[in-house]
Amino acid sequence: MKRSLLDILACPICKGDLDLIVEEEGDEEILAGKLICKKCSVEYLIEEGIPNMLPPELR
Amino acid sequence: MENIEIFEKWAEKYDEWFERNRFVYESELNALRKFAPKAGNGIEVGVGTGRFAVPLGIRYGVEPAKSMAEIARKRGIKVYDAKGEELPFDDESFDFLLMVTTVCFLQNPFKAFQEATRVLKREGHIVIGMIDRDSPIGKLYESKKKDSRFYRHANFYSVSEVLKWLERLRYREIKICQTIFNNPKEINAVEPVKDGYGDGGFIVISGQKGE
Repeated sequence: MKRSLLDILACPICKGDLDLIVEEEGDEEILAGKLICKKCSVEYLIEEGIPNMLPPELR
Repeated sequence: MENIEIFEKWAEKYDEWFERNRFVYESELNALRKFAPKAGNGIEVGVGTGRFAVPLGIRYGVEPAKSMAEIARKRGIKVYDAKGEELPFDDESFDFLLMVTTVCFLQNPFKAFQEATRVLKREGHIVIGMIDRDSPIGKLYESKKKDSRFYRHANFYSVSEVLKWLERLRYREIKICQTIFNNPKEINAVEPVKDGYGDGGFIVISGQKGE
């Protein structure tokens, strides 16, 4: 996931802004980490460069 | 949930359908081309394996079935694991939003339309490709859906139902076209695209988001 994509991403549940925590970053993309909603605190994992933005019950 | 699991399991079979039904696919693509904007930042909700997004120049997609999303990613689409009823995007993020044969698989289509409207910019366009339940082909699909791996749990809607949702969400400049006038199993040439609806099984509706 490119950092620039964070500009349009929001929490799918409450639409709050997301904080990014990077665990592994390549030349252009964030490969592993998580996105945490500033409003409702739900976490969304980034694995192999792909953020999983499904609500918790569907993952 | 069942629909997502079916697509998760049968992603490659789904994708092969487009090879085996080339003329149906081409006809549907032609109908979508008529209304899909040529420029701007677009997203397809229920992007599947990217069979429509790629030729229509759409770079972003949303797809809850991971094995489908994986194929779309190989085709160059940026795909988010997410569902139409709960889009993970800020308000007014996209110039246009496409949904192709997605409405019939949604748990709550009106909620997905509300979400689509939320993420569209002002005066952005929604483009919906769907099977019209009230058309002769739609009735055929409805009667045979128990035999179909993918359509078994589908809920087909009529054009008039979708138009009511668009009206409630204050869309304007509504345009409609149709294709697939013969049994898809017997089609051996690209079918024409005509204005309006009622005769064709596959319908494309476009609307512009109001103020």
